[in-house]
Amino acid sequence: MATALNLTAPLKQDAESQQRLKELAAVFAAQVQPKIDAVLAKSEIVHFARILVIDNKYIQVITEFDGEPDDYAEFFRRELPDVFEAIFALVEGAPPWAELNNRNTFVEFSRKLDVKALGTSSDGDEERGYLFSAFGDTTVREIKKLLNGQSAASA
Amino acid sequence: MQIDFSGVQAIIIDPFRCSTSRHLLFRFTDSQGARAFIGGLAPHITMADVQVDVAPDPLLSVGISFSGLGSIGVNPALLAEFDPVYKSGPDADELGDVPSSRSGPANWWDNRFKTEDVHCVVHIYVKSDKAAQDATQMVRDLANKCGVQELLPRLDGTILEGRSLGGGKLHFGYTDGISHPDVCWNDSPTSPSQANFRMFLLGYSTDDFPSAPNNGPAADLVRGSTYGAFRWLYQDVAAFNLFLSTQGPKLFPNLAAADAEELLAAKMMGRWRDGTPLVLSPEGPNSELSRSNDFGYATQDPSGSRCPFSAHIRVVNPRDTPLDSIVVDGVPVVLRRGMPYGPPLQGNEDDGVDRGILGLFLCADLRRQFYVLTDWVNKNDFSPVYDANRHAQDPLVGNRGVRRASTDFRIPGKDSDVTAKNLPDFVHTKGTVFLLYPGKATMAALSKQI
Repeated sequence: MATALNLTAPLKQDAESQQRLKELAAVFAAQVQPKIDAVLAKSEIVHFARILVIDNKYIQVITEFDGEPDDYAEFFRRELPDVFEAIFALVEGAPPWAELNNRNTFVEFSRKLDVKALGTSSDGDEERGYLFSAFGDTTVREIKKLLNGQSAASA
Repeated sequence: MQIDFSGVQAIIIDPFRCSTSRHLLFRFTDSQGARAFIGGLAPHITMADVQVDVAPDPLLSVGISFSGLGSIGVNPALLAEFDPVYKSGPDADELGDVPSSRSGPANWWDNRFKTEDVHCVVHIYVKSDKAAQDATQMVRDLANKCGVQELLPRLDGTILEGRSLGGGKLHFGYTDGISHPDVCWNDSPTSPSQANFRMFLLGYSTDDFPSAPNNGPAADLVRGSTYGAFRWLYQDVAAFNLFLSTQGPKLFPNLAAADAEELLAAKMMGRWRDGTPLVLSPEGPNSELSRSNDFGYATQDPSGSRCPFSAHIRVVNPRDTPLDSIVVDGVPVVLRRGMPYGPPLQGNEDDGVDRGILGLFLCADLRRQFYVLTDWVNKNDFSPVYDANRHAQDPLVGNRGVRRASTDFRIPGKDSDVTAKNLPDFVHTKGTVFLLYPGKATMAALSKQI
């Protein structure tokens, strides 16, 4: 079963931070999204991912991925430091990036912001809430392999 | 720069090759006594400028837990800077010590005390029983004088005592201590494969080799120290022997029963029991290769037909095996120090006697180095070579109670695979504590009010 990350952080409400949020949103599709896209593809573990802003008060990074949250957090800290630096600069209570930019602090802070979903995990992990998957334990790598096999067979 | 070995505990630099080890556990009852205990021990701790192979008995090491540092009275502002994994103490999920299993922390230390009660461990390594007795008495006298309470972790009230089985053997019959990381203790490595000393010593954190405390007074305090996980691991020799004798002949029916058992044992470890690597000698042990460490997997055994992908040594040190792109730090490296305890099992029936390994795993970053290894052991999911079953485990030390763990051990062959089914637990954790192994300057600071 994939793991869900429901990272939810309060956004700073001062005018300067809100202006930077607006600027981030404006350039997201053209400048940020391609970078994230490339790294997510490279990881070969992420099923789905998106970033949401709610009423300019909260930012959410919501993903479903295979494997352990710590490995996931470290991979993306290493691969997308500028993206996370830009996001966490907007987050109320986030340590400065110089402090956050190491494995232990980043993992700990990400864990703190990860909101547990309602309900219980089907695999018995008490730290995780309910997550439905139509694909059971099938990983991204396995799905891609199966899809590649199908394409080869139908070609 | 060059590390000053006189300021670093010898156990970090060199394995102690002694016939006996004793591991005394202590709880501090007040900060003044705790500081006096550390101060009194410090001159007896063997530092790395000593040639341990020729040094007289005893060789001593000391480790202090995070709760121990708190009891010593270390300034909370400094404590806040320590590694969060060290601060939190052992995490059953990360270790694979499934709470509902025999290895669960609720069962540790034979239920005589909790891990948080362990403030300090003194390791005594000696070559004679007399030296063991004298050193134990010296440490106990000091503890009594300082009002430090000894914790006896076994139901029968005895201490943890390691005893060499001879020939570097462990209870499952394998030869231990063949492969140790080549560490460069300065900034001029002689080969690219050498491990940087910052992976093991605190107080030298860089962007490439981070450790906590990262900088400032807390980093100054721990410079020359390291973290360690001290593990008390029971080995179920009877279950292991039964598994070999029942599964070996089934898996390899063309071999004589004894040969089939040996082959299965070798496939589980990745080396024959004399130490010969399967990659170099797949057909049988070769005494000339029994200490060999010069081999890889990517080109010498890409299919796993010599050494199975899940074999113990291929999991804990996959060498040049391609890793998943998510594994950004590469293969984690820890320094292993261990010794068997308990008498060898006589016969095939379990005799109810406690035996296993007392292991110490040293590193500068417990999450990046130690926990990654325990994770890989319990779920082989770090390389594309595991795509066939990403829930496979190390057949020797994995905990089968881990969520969705596979109990199949796949053994690829030249023409076809065989799979050993229903792997049981061969190893049970009986205790784990995370410790700081202070350098000389750290011990001096801890013995004062800081």
